[in-house]
Order: sequence, then structure tokens, then C-alpha cells
Amino acid sequence: MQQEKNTEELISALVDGELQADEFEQAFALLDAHPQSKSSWHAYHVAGDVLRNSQLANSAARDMAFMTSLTSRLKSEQEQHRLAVVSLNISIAPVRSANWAFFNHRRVAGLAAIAIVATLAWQLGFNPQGADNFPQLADSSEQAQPLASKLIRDPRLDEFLAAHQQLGGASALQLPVGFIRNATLDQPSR
Amino acid sequence: MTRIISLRWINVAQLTLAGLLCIGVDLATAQSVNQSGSDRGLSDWLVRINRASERRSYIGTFVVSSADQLASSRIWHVCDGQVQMERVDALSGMPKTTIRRDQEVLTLLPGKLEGVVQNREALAIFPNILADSGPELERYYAFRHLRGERVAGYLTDLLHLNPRDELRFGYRIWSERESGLVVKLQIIGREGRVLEQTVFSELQLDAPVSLQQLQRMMANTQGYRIERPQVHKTTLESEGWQVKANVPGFRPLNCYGRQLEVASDNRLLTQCIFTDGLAPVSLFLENFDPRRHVKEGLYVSGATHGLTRRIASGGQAWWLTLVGEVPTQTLVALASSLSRR
Repeated sequence: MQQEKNTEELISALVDGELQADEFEQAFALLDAHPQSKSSWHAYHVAGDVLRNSQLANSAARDMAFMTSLTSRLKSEQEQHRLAVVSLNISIAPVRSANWAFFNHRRVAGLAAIAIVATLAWQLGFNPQGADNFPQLADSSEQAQPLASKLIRDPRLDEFLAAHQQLGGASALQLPVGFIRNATLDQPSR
Repeated sequence: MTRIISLRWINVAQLTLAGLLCIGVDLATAQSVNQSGSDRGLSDWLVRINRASERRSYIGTFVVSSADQLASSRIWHVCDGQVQMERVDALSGMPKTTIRRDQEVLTLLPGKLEGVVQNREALAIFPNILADSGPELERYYAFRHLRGERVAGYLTDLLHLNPRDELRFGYRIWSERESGLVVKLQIIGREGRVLEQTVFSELQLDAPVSLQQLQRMMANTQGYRIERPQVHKTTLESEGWQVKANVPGFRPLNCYGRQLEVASDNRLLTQCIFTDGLAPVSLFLENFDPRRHVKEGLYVSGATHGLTRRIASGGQAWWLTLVGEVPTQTLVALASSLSRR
């Protein structure tokens, strides 16, 4: 099959949802085994987000603007997460463009790879805070700031949460404790 | 190969599972009740903790806590050998009373005089399914049994289910030593951090609970506007979808066509339940509406993670919402595993 597909392409394709069954398993094995792959995974998501918010036009100036935006974005993400952590609980801000179009990350795979290398070099070589730049994970919560703490709680999401708590209890723990847990949490919409 | 199909829910229109359990169906694993904790395998423990809540009555105060929220409720539970009932009164947030009789659930909002009646398929599980599910779960979770500390005054056994990969969270389950009742549960994230805890802060096992009184409460909804939302069974395939490749451990279980207030065009949306046996994920599909669907994003609250995403194929577009007690990357993987047929 496509066993020759290199690591970066595989991660990019995974982000794009383009993998076939065997490649899917391969990509997950990579993510599990290699911290660098996880950094790429993270960067592709950030890259996609930056691109979706950019005015897209093919120009060198735009590419430079993208690089600048990406590196600054990675830096701000870095201040919240260790690169080595595989969790994708990244506080990606909601996409602001109303006319979002599905973007193929492969088109910027090369740029993103350069950006990752540049950013890591910047972080490791020139960051005056050095190792202290890696944040301590919070004691009591996942690393991402919940969107709910930044935004007005989206009533649409509330309804999906409630639907999940009501019908989604497919667990061996549902009868012992899951039902009463869900009933306790399930808050009706205001 | 025995896969997660051992957890496929079976339509139990004629018999309720709770009834079978309450009258003491003689299962092959019935002898496990008499085994000492150290002899039991995971399957035995799952059967034990499921049977425990259906052989006892109790009253307690229940607290669910995470970094983002704290919710508590008062619980009444009773099983008389034929029927199992529970009542959950919210002690925090909006006043709410939930009454369950087997799979039927009535939710009342006294402040609004509104109520909802639902039939919840997920509340029917055959214990012999659980008896088979241990080996499958142990592919994805490492199981340990330990001596637990006292919870709400009761001695406990502590079960650890540690994930073997990063697609799921871990579980710590405190099971009351004599009955098996789950008295405390923690969902464990990375590096052993507790994402969510559910616990009885106070518990009276074998407290007298009147089944008749709960039956009357459930029947008397005078003054309330009661909704019975229509939910029909469907499948991903019949909705035109397929799962390209399974995310390790997770299988689509049941799909429902249902209507939520916020669904596009007031049309039905599809809710598909995925699970690895412990961790449930709901995947919602609806037609893409650019007026409503402007924000792709991630959501985290305690152990619950959410993701929204637009997907397009063949000139059509849909809006995908995933919610589940799993890491974000699992939601991403599940979203990526869907494709049009």
C-alpha cells in the first residue's frame, strides 16, 4: 500500500481525514510512539486555524504574514501546553470566518514543517526563559481553558450535552452510577 | 472474533433487564458473588457492580465534581424483584426531579411546570453481556483490584482501569465491600489527574424506600406540560454514512433520529452512540446551515470533551458535533473516521 508515505504527510492526512483504514492505524501508532509526531499534529491544527483566519492570496507577503502568525500562535499555544503532550485540548479559538471552506493542510505542509522547526529552534535556542517555558499542568483540570470560560456558554452545545447525557450512556457503568451521574449533571437550558 | 458486539444492546420490549436481575436469574457467573475480591476477574466485577444496584434499596446524597462544576443530588433507589426505580432530586442548580422506572425516565422541572418522558435504551443491559465483556475491555484497559478506603462510612474494594492508550481515560471505581454498590467513581486523565469525581457524600444502604410512593410520583404529573420527544432507531448506513476505520476500541452502537430545538431547519438530526464499553461518545449529524454553524471548536468541561466540525462530500455539507468522556484526539479520530457511502 502506501507504506512509503512519510511521517509528516501521514499526520497531515490524518488531520485532513484522508486516511484509509491501514494508514489510520499506522498514524495512530506514530502519534503514540513519537513525541515529534504529536508536535506536528498540534502544529497542523494551529496552521489550519491560522489559515482559515487569513485572507488567502498567493503571494510571498502573505506567506511571510502566515509564518509570522503561525510562529506567534505556536508561541502562545506553547505557553499553555507542552509540545510533547499529545492531548489536543488546545484552546483553539472558534473559527471566525463565516464562509469557512475545508482547507487541505497538505498545501502548507512544507510551510508548516518549516514553521515548526523555526519555532522549536526559537524556543529552545533563544527563549530566555529556557526550560521554564514549559508550563506546569494545572492540578485539577485539563490543560485547555474551556471555551465556556471564555465565551458565553453556547446554548446549542448545552443541548447536545444534555442529549449525550440522556441517550449516550453506553457504558458498563451506566446502571451502577452513570444514570444518577447524568441526571445530576443534566442541567436544563435556561 | 468476539469484539465489542458483546455489548450490543438487545431490544428487550417484552422483558426488562432489571426484572430479570431482581428475581435473581441464575447466571453462570452467579457464583462470583461469593468469591473473594481477589479471585474475581473484570467481567465478574462488572456483573457484580451492575447487580448490586438492583438488589438493594438506598438513600443518599450524591456529588459530582470537576474543575468546572459541582453538582449534587438526593438519590432514592429501590428494587422489589420486578421493577427498579430511582429518584434523583437536584440539590444544586435549577430544581429538577428525575424518576426512573427501568428504562422509562420522567424529568420534571417544578419551576417551569414542564416535564419530559423518555425511554432510554442504554438502561437495559444483560448481565451475561457484561460477563463476556471483560476480555474485550482488558484489551484497552489494564485492570487492578485493590483494597479501598472507607467511603461514606462503608468499606470498599477499589478497581483500577488504566487505559492502555491515549484514546481513553482511566477509571477508579470504589465498590462497597458487601453489596458491590458503586459508592465513588473517578475519571482519571493524563498523569493521574482526576478529571471528574462522583461520590456518595452520605449513604444509607437498605434504607426503606417505598416503591408505591415513587410509582405514584411518576404517575402524577398534573399541572405539568409533559413532552414525549419522538426518537426513532436508525443506522449510520441508512443515513448514508460509513465508518472508514474504527478508532481502536470504539464501535458505533446505536443511532437515533431525533429532534433537538437547535437542529437546523427543525429537521431530525442523527445521534450515533459510540463506545468502548466504558467511555461513551455521542456523534451528532445535521445538515450544514451557514447561519447557525459558524464556529468550529473544541470544548472541555471536566471529563467531558466536545468538538464541532463541518464536513463536506459530493457537494453537500454537514455539521458534526461530538461529545464524550474521552480525550479530544478521540473525538477528532471518530470525526475523521466517518465518510459518505
